[in-house]
Amino acid sequence: MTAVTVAAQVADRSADLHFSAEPGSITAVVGPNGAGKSTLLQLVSGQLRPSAGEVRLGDTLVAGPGVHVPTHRRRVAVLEQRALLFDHLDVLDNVAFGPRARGVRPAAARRRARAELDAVGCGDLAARRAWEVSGGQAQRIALARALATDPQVVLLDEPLAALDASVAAAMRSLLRERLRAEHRTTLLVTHDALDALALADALALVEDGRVVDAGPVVDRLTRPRGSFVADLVDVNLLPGRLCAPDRLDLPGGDHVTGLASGPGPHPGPHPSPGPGSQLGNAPDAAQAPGATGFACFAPAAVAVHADPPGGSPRNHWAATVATVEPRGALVRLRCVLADGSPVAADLTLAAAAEGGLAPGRRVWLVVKAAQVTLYAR
Amino acid sequence: MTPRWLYLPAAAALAFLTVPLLGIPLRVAWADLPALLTTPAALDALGLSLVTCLAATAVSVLLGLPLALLLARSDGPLAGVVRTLVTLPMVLPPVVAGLALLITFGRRGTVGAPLSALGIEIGFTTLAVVLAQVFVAMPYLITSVEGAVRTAGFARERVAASLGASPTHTLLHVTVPVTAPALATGTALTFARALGEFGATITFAGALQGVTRTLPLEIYQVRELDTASALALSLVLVAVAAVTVALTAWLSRRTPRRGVA
Amino acid sequence: MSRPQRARRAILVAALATATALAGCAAGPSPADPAAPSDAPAPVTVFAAASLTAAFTEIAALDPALAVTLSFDGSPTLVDQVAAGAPADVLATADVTTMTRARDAGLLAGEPVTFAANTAVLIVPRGNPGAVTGLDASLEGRRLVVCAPTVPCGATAHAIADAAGVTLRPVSEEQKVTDVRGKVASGEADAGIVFATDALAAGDAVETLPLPGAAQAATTYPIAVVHDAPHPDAAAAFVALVTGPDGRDVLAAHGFTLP
Repeated sequence: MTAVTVAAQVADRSADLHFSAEPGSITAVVGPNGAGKSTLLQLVSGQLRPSAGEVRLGDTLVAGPGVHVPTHRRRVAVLEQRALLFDHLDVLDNVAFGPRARGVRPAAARRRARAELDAVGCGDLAARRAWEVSGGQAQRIALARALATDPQVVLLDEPLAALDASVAAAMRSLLRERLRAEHRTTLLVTHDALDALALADALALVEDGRVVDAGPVVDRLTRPRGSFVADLVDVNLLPGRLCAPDRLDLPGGDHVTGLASGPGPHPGPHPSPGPGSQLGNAPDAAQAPGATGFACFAPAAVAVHADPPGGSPRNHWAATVATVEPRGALVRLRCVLADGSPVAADLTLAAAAEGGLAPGRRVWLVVKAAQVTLYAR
Repeated sequence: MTPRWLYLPAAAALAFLTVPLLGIPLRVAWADLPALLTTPAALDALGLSLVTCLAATAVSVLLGLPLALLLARSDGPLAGVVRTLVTLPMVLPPVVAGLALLITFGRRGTVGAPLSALGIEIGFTTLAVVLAQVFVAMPYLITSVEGAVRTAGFARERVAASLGASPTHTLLHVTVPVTAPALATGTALTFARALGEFGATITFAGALQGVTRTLPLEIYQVRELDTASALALSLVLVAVAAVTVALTAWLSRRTPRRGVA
Repeated sequence: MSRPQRARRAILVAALATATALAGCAAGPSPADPAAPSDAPAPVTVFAAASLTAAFTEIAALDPALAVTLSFDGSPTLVDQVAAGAPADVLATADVTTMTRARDAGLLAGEPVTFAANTAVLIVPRGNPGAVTGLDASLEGRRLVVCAPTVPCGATAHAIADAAGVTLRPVSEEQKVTDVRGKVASGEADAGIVFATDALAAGDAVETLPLPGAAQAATTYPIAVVHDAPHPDAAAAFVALVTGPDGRDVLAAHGFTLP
């Protein structure tokens, strides 16, 4: 089990990355395209040399002033979107490649390869040519190949992105099982909140070449603190001031009533102090009145009315329709509150048509209090 | 839907390309073929062509493969210039190639003169034939291998490095096997081009039976006086060319192309 | 003459006329009109061996009374063309054998006359870096280039060597005499055997050494009026010009030896 510590700059990519991962932890790395997720992985794998700063694997300095340990001496395995099996070898020799490259005798390398193949459920494919297996099988074999080298660190770069949904689900549980069993320090780049939640202990958010937030994954996904993660998990997130444990005042004068969420301790990594930390990692504050906080609710929980609703629902806000996007059988309505906060609402096609909901239309948004969670910051 | 009138010019093109080639087997004196191909001059030419082409192909692979691998990894203006220079001999008129070799490796050439002072003479030797063949044929190896390496990409090499393979181990166990079909194709093309080399050889190496008179030079020599021999030897060249092209096509079909989503 | 033959002849004539027009070597009015006034230049068409190109072009300009159209090619090709009915007035070949073939085919009016000869010489690069002195021991370890035995300059070289009791050990047997000359002129070879006319045309890039016995192995150039000559009088005048003193001066200046 090896810790990963990065405190490095890459000048030509305007990246200044400060990151650390506990030994044996799995960190989901999320962020917009081009934000620097790949740069972080390449710094760890050794494909990229930092222009300043250093990278450590455990106690070993692998990149720093005057030091650059090449990729093949770092014991950092990489699994990409594409399995990238070696087409000229059969499946068994693909998996035995790493041990062989490290000088393990052929018989021993094949024994190890067979064990790894069995562990990913592909033992029966050992004699196949690499190009004869399916995409899902290829990715399993690629995982076996990566783990057969006893890596100190495993880098997973969107390993499920190229797979069909059904295959991806099986691969996700295989990854979970294998990575947990091996206790290997892992960095997982993903665009899928579900993957992060299912596989990772910790979440690191990379934006504009910086690690801007890092923390326990459950905490960071259920209490998103920035629009990127909120979009990732696909929930509405309204920042405001908590005036009571169950009430949040919005800057525009509206208020939100919901269920208070208590703080919970989570194991996981923490960002190193440095210029990269903008949000920092403030400990969960008690939900003291007057503290800043967030309201969190799903777009499907939002009802849209053309007129002021009758009765007195706990949460009702005037809003303006900004955009209307069809999403399969649903319509995603993006509205703006008086203070400019965006709120997404999912309606059926029929409901949207009935209400004549077009951009610019004034509407009323209604959400049941039971479907809103309030978080403190 | 293809317009039907396309068939007319297409048929003309096909006929123009195939009829002259078919003419050779039709006109060859098949009964005399063994005798025609076993005259001392013919045997010398066949043997010399075989030996020099194998040598030229070996040199092209040993020197051209590293250049192709490096070029495939290089971008930027310098690489572009190198790539252009390397492909130039492919499109150069052979006689120009011969003159270029002459003013370089000839007795008074930039490289030949110092060598000559040391008592090493290249002109009129079998070595000169090999040099001429390498000069015109190696570009075929370089361009086919470089193209294949670029197409294959470097992702697998990155994977190999992450699995602990040193750059040399990666080269020998990933890059070369992955590009093996292209290497085979390039090697076949190189051999075929070396076998057909005529202009640079006659300009630079001269023509002497058993020393520098390769198959094409022998055909040129006997074509007026002894058409039967010239046709018989030409048939050998056509057959080798046909086998090379067929082999190349077969190899490129055999290359696995997995559909990576 | 059968129909196909006549058709072939018509095509050949048309092709020749085109070639002549394209080459632009007609020195005067078209030779097609035999009844031209006597003060206009008399047209005459001359078929001559390729090695005569420089000399005959010069000779044709000597007499303003003749409008000479010249056609150069290999000697056997010229004879084939005349046999096929090409409208030649004069035929000049580079060897006796070919001319004899024309005479035996009844293509000539009268006997051919030998007007020039070409002898083989040994050439070395300027300065003679190989210190070659002739077909002797000085050639040991030197690069000698000759023509292949299948072409006239090669056959001549071997005949001279045989007569001298020497075995030629060339480093290359070229298909064309100009290739031999080029390899010597560039210094790539130490010596080469070419015709005297070729040596002369190389200027001072090469030095010429006489070959003993070359005269005996010389190739001779016969000239004759063609039997079906459209312009027999002008043809006779051109032959007289070539064999006369002015013609001989030009031929000698180009390296030919004279009978």
